[in-house]
Amino acid sequence: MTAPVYLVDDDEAVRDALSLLLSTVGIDVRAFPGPEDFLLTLPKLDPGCLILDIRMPAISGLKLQERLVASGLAWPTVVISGHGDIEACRKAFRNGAIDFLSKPVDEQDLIDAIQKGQAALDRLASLEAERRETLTLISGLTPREREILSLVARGFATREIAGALDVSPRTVESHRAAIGAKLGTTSPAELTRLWIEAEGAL
Amino acid sequence: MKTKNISIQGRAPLSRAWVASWLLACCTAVAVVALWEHRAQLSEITVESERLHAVASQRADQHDAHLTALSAIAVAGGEQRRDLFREVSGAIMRFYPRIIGISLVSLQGDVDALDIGTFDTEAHGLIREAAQESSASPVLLRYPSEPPAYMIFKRSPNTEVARYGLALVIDAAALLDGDSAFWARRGTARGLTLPDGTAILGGGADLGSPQYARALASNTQPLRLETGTTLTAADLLPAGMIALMIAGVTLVTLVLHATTRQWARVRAAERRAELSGLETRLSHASRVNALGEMASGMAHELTQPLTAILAQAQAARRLAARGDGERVAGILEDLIGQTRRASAILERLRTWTRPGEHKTELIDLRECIRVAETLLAGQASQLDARLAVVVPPSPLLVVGDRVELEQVLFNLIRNALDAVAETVGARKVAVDAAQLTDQVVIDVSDTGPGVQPDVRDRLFTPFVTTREKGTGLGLALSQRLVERAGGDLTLVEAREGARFRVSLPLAHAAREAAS
Repeated sequence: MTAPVYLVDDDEAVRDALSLLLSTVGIDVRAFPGPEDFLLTLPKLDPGCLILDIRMPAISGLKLQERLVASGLAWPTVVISGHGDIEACRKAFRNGAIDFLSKPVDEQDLIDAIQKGQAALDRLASLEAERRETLTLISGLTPREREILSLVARGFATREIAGALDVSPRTVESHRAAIGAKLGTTSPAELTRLWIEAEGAL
Repeated sequence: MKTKNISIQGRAPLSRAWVASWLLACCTAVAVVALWEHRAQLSEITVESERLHAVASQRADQHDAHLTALSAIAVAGGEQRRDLFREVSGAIMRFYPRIIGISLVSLQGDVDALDIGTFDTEAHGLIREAAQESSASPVLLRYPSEPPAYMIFKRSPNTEVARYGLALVIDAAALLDGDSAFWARRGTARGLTLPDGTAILGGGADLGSPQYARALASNTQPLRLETGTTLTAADLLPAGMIALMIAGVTLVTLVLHATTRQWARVRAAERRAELSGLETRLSHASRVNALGEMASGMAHELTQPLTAILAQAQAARRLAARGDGERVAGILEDLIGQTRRASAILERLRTWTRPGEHKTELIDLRECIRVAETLLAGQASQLDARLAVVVPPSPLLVVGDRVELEQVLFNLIRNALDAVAETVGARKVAVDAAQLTDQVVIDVSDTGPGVQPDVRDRLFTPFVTTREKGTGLGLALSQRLVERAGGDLTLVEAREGARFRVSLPLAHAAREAAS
C-alpha cells in the first residue's frame, strides 16, 4: 500500500474516525473538511485514491467528482453516502467511481475498495511508465526513420516504401535495421503497436 | 345536541315552499277535473241533441201526412161531410196530442170556418192569406197566442184553384217532448225557431250561444233546433271527485315531503361523516408527511455518528489486537461522545413522534424553537442557508402542548427553508422570539420570494399549496394547533420574503411574576 488516500467529508467526527481506522491498517490518509480545501491542495498532491462523501454543503461529492473527471484527473474514486439513493449511485458510477458505499461504512468494504483503487492506480502508473518509455524510444529516431516507421505501421512493404520515398529498397532496408536496433524489435506488428502508442501520446 | 335538532325538524310544519307546491298541485288537479267534466258534458248534450233532432224530424214528417189526409177529406167531402172532417181531426188530435188545433177555412168566405181544438178566431184571416200565398209547399207561422206553438198552412186542394185553407197548430213543447230525462236537468235549454228567424220556443236569451243548432230534416218544416246547457261550478266540479283529487294530491305531497326530508337527513349524516373523516385524514396526513420528510433528514443525521462509531470501534479492535491499550482508551472516549450524539438525535425524534392526546403544560417556547432548530439544522446547512435564531435570555412561558407547538415551529422554519431554496442570493431564515406585556410573539421570516397575492387569502386553507410536492396541510394544521393553544398564526407584512407570526398568550404564572 503505497499510494495515499484522500478523504473529503464535512463531518469532523466521521473524518477523524475514518482516518484513524485507515491509519491503523497502514494506509496513508489525508483528510479534507470540504471540496474547496481539497481543490486548493490538489496541485501539490501525489496520485492517490479519493474517498468522497456525497452530501456536503456548497459542492457535493458528486460535483467534485465531475469536476475532477472534467479536468482529466483519473484517480480512482470511492463515493460514500448516508442515503444510498440509486440516482446518486448511478451518477457516481457514470463518473467512473470504482465503488459506492453507504454509511456507516464497514472497514472491510472500505479497505477492499481502497485496494481496488490502488490496484487501478498501479495499473495506471505502469501504463503511464510504458507509454513514457515508448515515447523516449520513438524520440530517439531520426525524422527519416520516423517517416519510414509510420509507413511500416500502415502496412507498406519495403519496396512500396522505397517507391513512395523515391529511394532504393536497399536504403529503406538499412533504415529499418536502424529502427529495429533502436526500438529493440523488427517485428512489423510490434513496430505498429509502438507507433500507435506513441502517436496517441504525441 | 344534534339528535335534538333533528327531532325538532321532524315535527316542524311543512315549509312555505311545500305548501305552495301543494296548493299548485291542488289547483292543477281541480282544473283537470273541470276540463274533463266540461268535455263530458258537451259530448253528452251533443248526443242528446242528435237524438232529439231525429225524433222531432220524424214527427214533423207525420204532419205532412196528416195535412195530405185532411186535405183529401175536405176536397172529397165538401160541405156535406163536415162531420167526417171533424171526426178525423178529433181522432188525429187524440193520437197526436202535440197537434192542438186544426182549422179549415173557405177561401171564398161562403162557408163558415171549421175549427177543431184550440184556435184563435183572429187567425182565420191569417189562414186565408197564408193559404193563398202558399204555393206547392206549406207556409209556416208562429201561433199568435199561448201556448208556444207554430202553424202549418196549406191550400186545399193543392192547386191554383184551391177552395180551402188548411191549418195545423203544433205545440212546440210537445213536439220536442221525449223520454230522455236529460232535458229535465237544470241548466239545459232547447229552442225552436222558424226558418225566417221567428222564435217559437225558448230563445236567444235563455240559450245564450247554443252548443247545438241544426234545422229539422223535414222538407216542409225546416225548423231550427237549438240546444244548450249552462254549466255551473257544481256541474264542472263534482264535490266527491274534487275531494278525492285533493286527498290524493295531499297524500302524494306528504309522501314526497317525508321522502325528501329523509333523503336530506341521510345526505347530511353522510356529509358530516365525510367531514370528520377528512379532518382525521388531514391531521394524520400532515403528521405522516412531516414524519416522512423528517425521517429522511433524521436518517442522515444518525448516519454520521454511526459511521464514526463503526470506524472507531473497528480501529480500536485492531489496536487492541496489537495491545496498544493507550490509544484504545482515547478512542473509547470518542466512541462514547459519538454514541451520545446519536442518542441526542434519537431523543429529539422520540419527543417529536410521541403519540398521545393534546397535553397542556407550562412550557418555555425557547425549547420548542431549539428543538425545531436542531431538527432542521441539517437541511439548512445542506441548502447553505443561514438559520438565525434570536431568543431572549429569560424563559418564554406559555401553556400549551409541547409537541404541537414544536411541530408548528418546525413547519414554519421548514417552509421558510423551502422558500429560500428557491432563491439564488443570500439564503437566510430568521426566528425572532420576544415577550410582550401579555403575550409571546415569534416571527419566522425568510429571504425567499414571498407569498404571492393570489395565494395570500387561501394560505391557511387545507390543500392549498404552491409547492409541487406539498400537501397544503402544513400551514392549515399549524394554525389549528396555535389556535388550540389560545394563540394566533398570521402572515404579516415584510419588506422581503415572507414573515409568519405566532402569537401566544403569556402563561398566568409568568404574568404574575412580571407584575
